[in-house]
Amino acid sequence: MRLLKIAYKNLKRKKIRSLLTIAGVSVAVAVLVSLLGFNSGYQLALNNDVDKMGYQVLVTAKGCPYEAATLMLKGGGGMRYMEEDVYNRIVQDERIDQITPQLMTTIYNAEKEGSSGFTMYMGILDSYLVLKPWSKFESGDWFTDEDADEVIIGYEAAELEQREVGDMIFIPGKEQILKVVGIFERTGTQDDGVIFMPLKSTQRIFELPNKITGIGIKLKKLSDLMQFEEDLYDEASIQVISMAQVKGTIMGLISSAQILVTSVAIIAIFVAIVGVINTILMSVFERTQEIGVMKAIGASNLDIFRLIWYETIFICLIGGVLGSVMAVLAGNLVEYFVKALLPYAPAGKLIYIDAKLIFSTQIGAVVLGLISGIYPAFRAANMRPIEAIRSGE
Amino acid sequence: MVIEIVNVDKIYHSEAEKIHALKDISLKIEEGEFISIMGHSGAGKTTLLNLLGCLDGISKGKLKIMKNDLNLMKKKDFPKFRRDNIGIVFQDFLFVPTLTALENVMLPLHFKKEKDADAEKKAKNLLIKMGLEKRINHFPKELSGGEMQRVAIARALVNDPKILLADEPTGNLDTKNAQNIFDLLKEINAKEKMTILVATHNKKLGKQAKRHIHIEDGSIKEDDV
Repeated sequence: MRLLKIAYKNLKRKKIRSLLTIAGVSVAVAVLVSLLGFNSGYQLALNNDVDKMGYQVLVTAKGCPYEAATLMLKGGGGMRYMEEDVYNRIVQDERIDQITPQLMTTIYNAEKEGSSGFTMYMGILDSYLVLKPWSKFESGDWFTDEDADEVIIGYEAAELEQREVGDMIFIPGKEQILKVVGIFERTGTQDDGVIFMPLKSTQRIFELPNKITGIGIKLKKLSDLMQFEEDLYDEASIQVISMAQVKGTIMGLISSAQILVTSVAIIAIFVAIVGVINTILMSVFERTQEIGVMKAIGASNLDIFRLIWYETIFICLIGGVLGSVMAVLAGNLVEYFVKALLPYAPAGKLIYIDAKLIFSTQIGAVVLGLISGIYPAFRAANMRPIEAIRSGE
Repeated sequence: MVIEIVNVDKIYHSEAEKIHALKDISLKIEEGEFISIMGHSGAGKTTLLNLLGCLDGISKGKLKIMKNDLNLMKKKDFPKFRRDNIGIVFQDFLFVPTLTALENVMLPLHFKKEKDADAEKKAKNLLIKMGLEKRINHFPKELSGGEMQRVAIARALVNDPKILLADEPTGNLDTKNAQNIFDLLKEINAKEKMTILVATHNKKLGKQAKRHIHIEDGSIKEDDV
């Protein structure tokens, strides 16, 4: 018979109390796993979103860079307009490998409820696909003409609109009917929800002649990036946003939310530690006489210390496993609320829980048990047998 | 000589007073003796057994067990010394309630780091010897008073101690069971040549021991062989 078995049986003695303590640890661990999963998941999703934009620099009309960064990720550029001439000037730069202008606009359809009422339209050139080689056609093909009344629809937008190649699509408010000529495969980015049109058609239909909202640029050499950005700062009406800045800006935007959640996690862990110490200490006091007898029949201080320590580790380990399961099962629900709270939520899973995270959390739970168990185990180990035995008289 | 007590005092200090629990006790106990320690409640019987069980320290004098001077022994060595030499039976049995009779008897062997299989075999054999073969896997609350005391004796004997100390082992038992337990102790003493000290306030039982020591107000009043 091992001390582990005795420790396990001791926990079963006061089932409700043990279960409540385990529940406290589980909640703390679930919060911790969700938070850590969110930290890595958000970063991964954001990197994926930014990387899949295909360019290193975005030029937009002057305005709030935070707004531009967010809007850009939501569909290709800020809603402020700049002249197409800017594009014509920049395109001459020899350091540029690929460049594509974009005109982003949003239409609200009052007949649809909530956020699904917004439809994003993006005017693009064929250079758009050169910058995004992963954008493949699920069906159909590119526009027949650069001023055609045609659209290519992102995967999710096609599902939402229930359109197939050859169908017609109506732009509310513009009284314009366009033909669906292609549907993109799913990319896992915001592009999946966008309706693409030829740039010229977009300018004409939305009455924005010679206007664009953004220019995506990929340089031949990444080392030219700093100098390139600096040169463009001289352009009065535009701002240059690098992808690194975008990532930094968005991470900065969510940092306050992360601090809040981290604080909650720290409080939850602290409460869990206090709960575990309280439970084990109560259990030690209730078993004072029993501990005295164990010492009288030969248990050393170390035996008693280990016995009590095992009990706390059991509680924390079981709590850790249950908390991890809770975090995995409730991940989608947490993600739903987190997405509603954040200023910008990238596409894809925001809470990324992998085996490494689960494993390190279990190690953390054991450490929690070790820390929580020190004081009660020390108290129990240092009881004088005679006094402990007498305590029950 | 198994036990040598020379001019031992035990004094307890409480906030209000100083309690002289044992006064100038001197005793010599040889191997294989069966001794009853008698006296009224509060006379000092349990205090004497606690000193002999290394559960408490003496205030004055000298106490030698198996030629080991307890005054010179380090505190951390007491658990091992107890494990190897002394078995203790308590009046209230004092079991771990979540463990079965067998597991409770195995406990001292576990603390001695014996292998599980060996410990189980030894504990089982002992319980069978005590006539408890049908109670091996029962929890303490499922046992009668007599059965519980037999399990407690088995737990005290499982380490093959040189000395068995029993503090009022029949105190919670009816007359018949009390006599049975006392007979069991006598049998162990006769067969195993084990030194046994039994504290009891039951004169009828105490007189059945080979040697009776009578304690009154912390002093030995009578030591009859």
